[in-house]
Amino acid sequence: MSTIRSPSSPSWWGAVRLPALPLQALAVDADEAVLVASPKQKVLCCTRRCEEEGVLPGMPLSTAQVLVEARVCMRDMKAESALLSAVCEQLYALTPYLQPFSARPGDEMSAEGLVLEMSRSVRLFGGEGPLLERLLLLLRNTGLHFCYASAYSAEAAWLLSYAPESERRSQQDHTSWFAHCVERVLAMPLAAVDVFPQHIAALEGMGFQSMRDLWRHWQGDGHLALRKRFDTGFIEWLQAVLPPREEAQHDLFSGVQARPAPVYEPRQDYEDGLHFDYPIPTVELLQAPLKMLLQNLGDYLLARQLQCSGVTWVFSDIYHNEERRSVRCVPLHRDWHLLYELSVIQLEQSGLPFEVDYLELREPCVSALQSQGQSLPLTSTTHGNADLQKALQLTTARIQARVGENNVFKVSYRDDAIPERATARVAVHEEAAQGPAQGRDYLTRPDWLFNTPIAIGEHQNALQWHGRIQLVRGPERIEGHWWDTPTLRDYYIAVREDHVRLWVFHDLDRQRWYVHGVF
Amino acid sequence: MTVSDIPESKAGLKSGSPSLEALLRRKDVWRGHSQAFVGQKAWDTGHDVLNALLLQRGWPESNLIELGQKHLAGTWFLLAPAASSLIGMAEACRGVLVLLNPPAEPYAEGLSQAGFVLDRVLLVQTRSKNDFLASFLELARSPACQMLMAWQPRQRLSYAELRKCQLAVQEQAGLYFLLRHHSALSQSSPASLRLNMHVEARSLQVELIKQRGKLPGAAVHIPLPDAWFSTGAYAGLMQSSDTPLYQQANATPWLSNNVLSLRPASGRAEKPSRG
Repeated sequence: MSTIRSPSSPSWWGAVRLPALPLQALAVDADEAVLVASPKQKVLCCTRRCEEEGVLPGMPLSTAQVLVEARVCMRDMKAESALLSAVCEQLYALTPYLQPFSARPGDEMSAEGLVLEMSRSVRLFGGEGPLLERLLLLLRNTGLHFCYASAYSAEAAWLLSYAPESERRSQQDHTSWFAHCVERVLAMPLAAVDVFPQHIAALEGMGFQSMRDLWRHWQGDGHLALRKRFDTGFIEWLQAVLPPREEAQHDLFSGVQARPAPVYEPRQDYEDGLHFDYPIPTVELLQAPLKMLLQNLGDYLLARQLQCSGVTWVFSDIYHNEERRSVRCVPLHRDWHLLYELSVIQLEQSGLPFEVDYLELREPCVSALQSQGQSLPLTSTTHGNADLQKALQLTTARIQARVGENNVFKVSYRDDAIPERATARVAVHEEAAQGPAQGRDYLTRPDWLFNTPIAIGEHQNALQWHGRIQLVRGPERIEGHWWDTPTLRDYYIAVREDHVRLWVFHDLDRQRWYVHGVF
Repeated sequence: MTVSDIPESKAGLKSGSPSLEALLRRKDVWRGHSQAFVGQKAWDTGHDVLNALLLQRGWPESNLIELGQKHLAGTWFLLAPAASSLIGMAEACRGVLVLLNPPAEPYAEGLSQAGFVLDRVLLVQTRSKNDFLASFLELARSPACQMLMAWQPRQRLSYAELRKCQLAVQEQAGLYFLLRHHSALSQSSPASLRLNMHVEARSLQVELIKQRGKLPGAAVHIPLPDAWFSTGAYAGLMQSSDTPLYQQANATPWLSNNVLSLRPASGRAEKPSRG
């Protein structure tokens, strides 16, 4: 085996695997018999009582239910994500370089956890040992069942988390620690690898038993054969897990080792409020406090390079009653005036619920500032388009704040033979689909359509709908939706005695006449 | 307002006095001839006979245009040529067409056939007169609104409110239409152009009620498209005595959910006379 060169300052990665995360996210009683199932009806994990009855992860749910009478819960990804975020928030106190980790992203049976890079925090916490002690203490305090391991890369640390014995990093020099990690990684059996199961199965079929076997084959020209057989993702994983080698024709590892560590961005809660000396009864008196709070928000956004697309106002009175009002708008960076305008419009429309004693600004919808490339004003067209777009957004935001979001919309074309299904309302920010274009002279379709066709009757042997109707052109047979609501109609252009042009049809199933549109 | 209406103490009768000159320079003061209004920009209506009727040979920009109508019929036929040229696909740097408080929803396929870009057509439904007025003013002042078609709400708009609308539309360069029941045309209005449209057997009649710089009273007839008329052989088909009888429809309330004519004063629907 060629000499393994230890990097001058190796990264120190820790992996925290949470095998019972699906169970603990549901907050079930550990003494109860509970099965957590995946959407594909397989057992994800279970309580100890079920394990004693022979239930194993990955087993079909029906089989598990035969073995033990247990309560079945479906996996709650949202709860797991929230729990994982809470753990990340705790560990952010130790290092900013951490992120949630999934062995097989997209696989419902994949193990979940997180990885963190701690080499840059060693000096701050007085050495590797104290830092590790602090980390383990924080993890124990979460109450979650975890498996921890550390190595020179995130993937290697994750693999070592399956090792039977726990690892404690003491005050070792880098070289000794690195060599120790390498030995542990190479000693791991391939059966313990939980990534790329098909590739691992293929390698086991070829006779590879452990990581050391793979490492031996990786030396020399063996890696070329592996590259030909397996995809880029697996090769990158191998490069990350296997130790770097001293002589390499292609310095492949350096790229992986030099990969920047992910930086975790903790959730930043922003709250700001104002107590008033006396309860405020009108919206006019509330305008100055609104401005002040929004000004503070604008400074906060500017300092953190964030943008905001809405806020929640919370009004409280002297009896501690609370009322919330949400205001949404286009993403703003520091220009808070639009939020102020929309807030005032909404308050003037709905009025204050009571005399306000405390005003609070909560839960701003903030996100990282999107870099908006500005086109050079080389032509008036490109420059004008951006200005018009912005003006339209501001105008529609103001009108929506007044009349409601549902009352500002577009009509869109749907490819359907039945007229009332061929037109639909869409929100302002969505794109309205264009229908087929024909010359104006053709004019086979009305300009206005009733949502529901209106039945018309007959009087004195003629159709009547607020006047006598005479058919002038048609019929045009329109039929469709044989699979749910069979529709068969003959459409005509008709004229009423006051010369109004109507679009009428004869429903051949119901044998009735209807008015459907106006030209 | 004429010179004689201005108090002596305020205006001064001598020509050259600053306040009188400033007054006469205003664009909305009529000085007995039309020259001041000819230079305003206008959009081709798409109907030659109508262009000949209008002073600027088209729909005047930045002006409140009132359209009186008895029914919804014929509205798109009259306004579609100008609207589609404003909002059409060929023009990249264009705003939107807004329908404010329409009595019905436009038919997407019909609009597409007429050449409209549906993505540039917005609808705004208002619940009260205050909402209508506020939305009108907001849209009129927005450069993004290239054309506005607003249907008067059930409550009648006062002269002062119409004046607000007229002043608001002067801030931007677009076409602004206020559609009202034809009986509302008897009410005085500050709109610079007032027309009454009426669908007839073979044409759409457009009568000039008011236009700054031109005497009212003229009317034109815009021929309706041939596709709206019957073919000769078909005309009498439904009138034959062999036509089977159909069930009487359920009593249909006159006030349907979407469409139709408005009662003059209060904005409620009026029952048409039955022939």
